[in-house]
Amino acid sequence: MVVGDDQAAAVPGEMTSRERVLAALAGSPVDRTPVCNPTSVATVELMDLVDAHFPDANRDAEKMSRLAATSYTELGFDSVMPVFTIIQ
Amino acid sequence: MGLTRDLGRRIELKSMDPHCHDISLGLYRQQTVEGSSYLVHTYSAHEDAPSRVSEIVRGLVEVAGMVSLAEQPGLVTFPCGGRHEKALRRSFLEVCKLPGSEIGGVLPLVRPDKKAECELTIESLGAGSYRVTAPAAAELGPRRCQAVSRGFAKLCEMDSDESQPCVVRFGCGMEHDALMGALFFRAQNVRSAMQEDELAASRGTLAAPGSQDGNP
Repeated sequence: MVVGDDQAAAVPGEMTSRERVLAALAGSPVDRTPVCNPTSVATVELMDLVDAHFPDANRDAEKMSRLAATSYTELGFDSVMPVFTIIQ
Repeated sequence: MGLTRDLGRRIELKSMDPHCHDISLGLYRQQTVEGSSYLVHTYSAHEDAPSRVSEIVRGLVEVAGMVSLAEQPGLVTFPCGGRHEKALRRSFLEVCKLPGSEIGGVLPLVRPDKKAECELTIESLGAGSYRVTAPAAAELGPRRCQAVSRGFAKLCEMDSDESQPCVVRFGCGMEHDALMGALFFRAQNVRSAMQEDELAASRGTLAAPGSQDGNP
């Protein structure tokens, strides 16, 4: 989900990710365009980085949260999708 | 906060290395004063990871003919300073398929060809040009030489000349004997190489249950 720049308001960095996303959803000004992914984010490199691999990260809560957090800590997303449920 | 590093542009990824605890191995391009250089890196902290990275780097040096940068350990480059990235990516993936004990040595420029029922030879013509040849008695030799040449042109992004269908040339004009040897067997069957690439690219792609194989 990306919000257009015409909704940009104050100095970048003034808002928390939560504030930024909620403001964008409400159509309110934001400090910068928020970037969210409503689905889970996981790559093999992120799995290596935090030692939380599939399929264990699908079942172990601690690994699941550790891997999910990387969407914020490493990729700079404004969201974290904490559950991996890959159905194949 | 972040642990990821700016390693340059990743040009290839071995997502799960079966020879080292399924770690991921990335091949990154960096710009140095020598031109384009390449780094093999893994984010895995497994104790065997550093040695596996070293094995892959050794493979790129010994099999693909790259050289290590003395001033920047871990970086390798082609002697010509050029990119040859399509060939490099293929060589990287081929090296990753091998356990450390099987990595090493320049592969020969002579190989048996089942379809031609003879041996094919890659002759260096100088200035980065190579000709694929077969014994004169081999009935299917000329046709297979052309096919393998086309294979090299595709795999290594080499230049070809319609007037000399069995000759291909590196754009840099430099010799790359090791690279030719490393990709010779792939050039003999480019179709399978392309199919392998497609399979790798589609791996991990999520599909709706109704569109998956075997579902009614």
